[in-house]
Amino acid sequence: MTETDIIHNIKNGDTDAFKLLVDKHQSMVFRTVMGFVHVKEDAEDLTQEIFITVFQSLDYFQGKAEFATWLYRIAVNISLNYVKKNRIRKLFNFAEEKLQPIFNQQDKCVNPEEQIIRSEIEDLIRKAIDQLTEKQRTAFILSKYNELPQKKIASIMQISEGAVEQHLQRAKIKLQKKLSGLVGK
Amino acid sequence: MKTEDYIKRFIEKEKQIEPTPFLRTRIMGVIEKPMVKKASSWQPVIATVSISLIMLLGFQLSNLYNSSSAKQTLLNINDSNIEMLHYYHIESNE
Repeated sequence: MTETDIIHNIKNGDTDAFKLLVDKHQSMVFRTVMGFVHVKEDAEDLTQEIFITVFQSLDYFQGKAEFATWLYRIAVNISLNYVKKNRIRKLFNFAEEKLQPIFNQQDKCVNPEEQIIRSEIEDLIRKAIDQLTEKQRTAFILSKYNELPQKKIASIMQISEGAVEQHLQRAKIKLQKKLSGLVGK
Repeated sequence: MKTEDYIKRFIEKEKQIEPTPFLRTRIMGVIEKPMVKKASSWQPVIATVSISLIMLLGFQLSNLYNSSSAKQTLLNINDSNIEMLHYYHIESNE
C-alpha cells in the first residue's frame, strides 16, 4: 500500500492505518525534535504532539508536496514554538543534566573529572546550536541530524537552495567562532 | 580534536538516542480517544442558533404572560364622601 493510499484510508475513517505512518516516520521526527530540544523526554512529548497535529490536520494535506516534507514542516514549526515558550525551563534541565553525571554512581565513565569536562563541552555545543537564528538552526538540524540534501531542506523551509547553503555556511561559521575555545580541551 | 569533530561527536551522540518503544502506543492511544477526532465546524453554529432560539422562546413566553394578565381596574374614589370627616372635627362638634 502506498503512502497516498494510507492517507486516503485515514481520511475515510481508518484510524488504525495511521499506525503505519507513525512507524515509518517516528524516528525521523524524533531525531529532528532532539536537534531542537536535546532532552529525550521533551522530544518524546513533542513527537506525540506532532503526530496528533498531523492526524487532526490530514484533511488539509492536499498531496501537492510529499507527505514527509509536510510532516517535517509541522515538526519544525512545533519544535520552534516549543523552544520559544520554554527558554527558562531549558536552563534548569541543563543544570540537572550537568550535575547528574557527577552524582550518578552507574555512569560508565570512571573518571569524574573527564565526565565533567565532557559535560561542559556538550553544554557549550548545545548552547551554541541554540543561539543560531531560527533559519540557521532549522537548516543545520535538517542537514546534520537528518542528513537531508539541500534540495529537500529548501522544499521543507520553502526557500531556495542558495538560501539553504547560505544559512548552513553562516551556522558553521557562527558555531566555529563560539566554540573556538574547545580546541585543545 | 578540531571544533568540527566535537560538534560531530555531539550530534552523533544525540542521534543515537532512541525514543521509548511505547511512543507509538501513546500516540495511537490519544488518537483513538473520541475527543481527539476533529470537531465538526458546524458545532459552534448549531450551538449559537440553539441558544438564540431558546432566548427568543423565552421572550415570547414572557410577552404572552403580560398580555394575558388581568385587566387593571381603576377606581375613582372620593374619600371625602366615604368618611364624613366633619363629624370628627372637634371644633364644629362642641
